[in-house]
This record gives sequence, structure tokens and C-alpha cells, in this order.
Amino acid sequence: MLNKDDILAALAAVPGPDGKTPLNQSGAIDGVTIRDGKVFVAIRVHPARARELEAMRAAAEARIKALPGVASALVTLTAESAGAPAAPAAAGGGHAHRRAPETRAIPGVAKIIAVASGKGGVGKSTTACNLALGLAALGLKVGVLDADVFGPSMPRLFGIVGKPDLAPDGQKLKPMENFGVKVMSIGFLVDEGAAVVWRGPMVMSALNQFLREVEWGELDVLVVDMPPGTGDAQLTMAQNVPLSGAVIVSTPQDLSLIDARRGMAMFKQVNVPLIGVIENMSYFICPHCGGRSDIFAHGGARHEAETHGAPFLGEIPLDMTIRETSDSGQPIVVSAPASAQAKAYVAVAERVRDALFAGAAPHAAPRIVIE
Amino acid sequence: MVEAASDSTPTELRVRDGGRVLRVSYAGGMTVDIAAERLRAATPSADKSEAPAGVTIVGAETIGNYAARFSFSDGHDTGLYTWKLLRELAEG
Repeated sequence: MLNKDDILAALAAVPGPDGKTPLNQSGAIDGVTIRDGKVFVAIRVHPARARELEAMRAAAEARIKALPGVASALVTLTAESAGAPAAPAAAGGGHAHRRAPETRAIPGVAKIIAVASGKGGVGKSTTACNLALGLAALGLKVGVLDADVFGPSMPRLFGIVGKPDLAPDGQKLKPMENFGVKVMSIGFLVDEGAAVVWRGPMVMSALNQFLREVEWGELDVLVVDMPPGTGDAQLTMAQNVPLSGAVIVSTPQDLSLIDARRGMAMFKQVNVPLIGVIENMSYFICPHCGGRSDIFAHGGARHEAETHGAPFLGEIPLDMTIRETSDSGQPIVVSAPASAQAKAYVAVAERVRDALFAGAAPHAAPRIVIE
Repeated sequence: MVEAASDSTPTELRVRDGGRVLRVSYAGGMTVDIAAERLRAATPSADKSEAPAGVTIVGAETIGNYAARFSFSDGHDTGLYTWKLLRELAEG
């Protein structure tokens, strides 16, 4: 059975970062991981020397690969902070350099907006779906990117089953489509009951592929349904595409509003303009007696928006038909467009459209010139 | 829409003099030169490794709407310089 000592012994034949001390005695080896014949080794080097030590890295990899019982070998260089205790190595083989890809617009996509909430369970995805359909009802060309990789709900909300096809170029994926809206979601690629158990870098790379390697075509607006909270996915979106703005969905009760405030703070931090706040589950009209109950209190989101100087985009009632139409893949904006509920969504969509296209363009990122 | 902290967004970042100087321009005409060594020393990255003297800027790119990343000749490229930080550096 292959063990760590075998690996270290093999590395005795490779000179370490100083060019003479054998690697296994150099103290630069930061971690050896063996899993099913796959070997991962991290070597700590000063980042400035990463390039010149590539030969050492390759030699170490070749030595390990040559050992009997080794299926594959991955040797990575990890950054060392001079004078400081060594950073923990990415066991299991990370990248010597983590890079957030440069912000680039997506060709053909005019505006990208994020629909976000500070916490889960406020009806963000239902709102994103109906908002997208509302924008489409106003005559815009709309796409929806489901960035909630851990809890994708767009396939169900749009009533789309099946897997996306390859685009004619054989490189990109064609988005799925229903009700005139293009949709891409991890939910098309994994079973509904399957769990996506990923670390942050996987989420980042999946989102990048959904942005760049999906044939979105010409879109006026791409609506991004963000996962709840303020984590990797949100940061990836904020770093990799020029977001035109963010819409925050919140229920009116205090607990939800505290989290909504965090969402607003996050977008402020990454300089993404706030389009406004939507109050979801705003009130309940009893189907039996017609009486109105403010189950989660009322008006909190409007108040919160005003406190932050953000526009209030509208209130959506807590309503059985919205829930039923969402679960059955017949979103209310298309299945009952004349209903008061659908009109509430379209009214929100109008305000979002006006903010996006009538207002001044958001501050463009600076031009970069290298002489 | 609410614009967030946008007045500190530069209009242009120009790497000059063989990478020894970053010229930051703002709307309204303010233009400031920041030496590469000073920029490198101010890195907000968790990797605070010391830079060799004479370090130069070899690459620059924008990150979202809020920051720029510079690559330096010593291989350091993990610092995201927010517009606010650049403004602070520009103002001395």
C-alpha cells in the first residue's frame, strides 16, 4: 500500500527550492495527500519564484507518477509569506494562484440584474421568476440565470424538464426556454433530488460557465437569481460581471429585514447600484372572508428601503395562487396575467425597467491603459 | 437607483514609465501618480510578503464595479484595490 514515506523517498531525488537540498529534506513540502492512488503534494515557495520553480514542480510530479501504484499525481506550488508562519496548504491540490477572472461584459447582454435576499425563505426565486416574466411581458428579451447552485428552483418554477443541448458551435450550452424566457440552471444538469455538495471554487467556476459558456444570445435583461446570503456566489457575480443593479427581496418582519440590510450592505461594498426593495408576503387576504391579515407585519420593507434611500419597488401579497402556480410551473404572470397578483409583479417589473433604462448609466469601471 | 460610493470611481488607470508608476484619473480632472512600490506596499491582500525594491506593475484589470487588481513583477497579484483604497492612496 502506498504511503507518505514512499512519496517522500521518491522526492529525495529532486533538488528543493534552493537547488541542492533534496526536496524531502528542504522543509518546503507542505502536505501529502493520497486518495485511491491519486497523490497530491503541495510545495511551499515564495510567490516571486513560482515561475522559475516550475521545473522543480514538474520533476517532483514525474517522480511520483513513476512510483508503482500511483494513478495520478498533482504537485502544486503554494505561496509562502516571508517571515510569517506558512499558510496552510490547499490539501488535495489547489491552484498556486487563485484568480478571480477579469470583469467583462457578456456580449449581447445589455443589463444584468441580481435578485437577492439576506436570508432564505422569503420567496426570492418566485419573485425573480415572475419579475423576469413581467419584464418579458413589457416586451423585453429576458434570460434567467439560476445562481442558487445549492437550491436551484428555476426548472420547477418555469416548468422546464430535460437537459440543455449543445449550441451549433459545439462549445456552448443552449439555454432552456419557456414562456419566451431563456433559463439556465444547475437544476437542468443534476437530478432534482440530488444534492450539489461543492466548495466555493466549484461554485465560482460553475457560475462563470453559466455566464460565459451559455449561448444567451441577444438579451435586454439577464435576471440572476442569487442564493440567499452573502457568500461565494454573490461575490463571484459581483466580481466577474458588471452588474447593472440589485433588487432585494424581503418579507416585512424584522428578522428578515435585518438580513435584507446585510444584503444591501454587501452590494454597497462592491459598488453595485441598488435598484430597490420588494416586499414579499406583504399581506394576506383571507380567501373565505376577504379580510386582510398582516401576517409578517406590514410596510417594514418600505421603511427599510426609505432608511437606505433606496426605491421601494412594490408589495406582493402572501397568496395561495402564487404558491400553487409556482409549484406547478405555471407562474402567475403568464397563467393569470389579468389577476391582481400578476399585475403587482408587472408593476414591479415596470419600475425595474425604468430604473435600468431611463436612469443614468451606472458608473462605468475605469479604462485601463498599460503604456 | 442608488449609486454607492461612486464618486471615488476613477475614470482611467494608466500604467506608465515601464510599470513604475500608476496614473489614476478622476472625473473632474484630478490626476495622481502613485509609485508602483507604494502601491505594492499598500496591498490589501492577506499575503503581505515583502516586495523587492524596484518592483513594477506588469498587469492591471478591473474587478466588478468596485476594484482593480494589479500584478506586480514579483508575482504578487492577490490584492484587490477598491476605488476607496485607491482614492486614499491618491490623496496621500
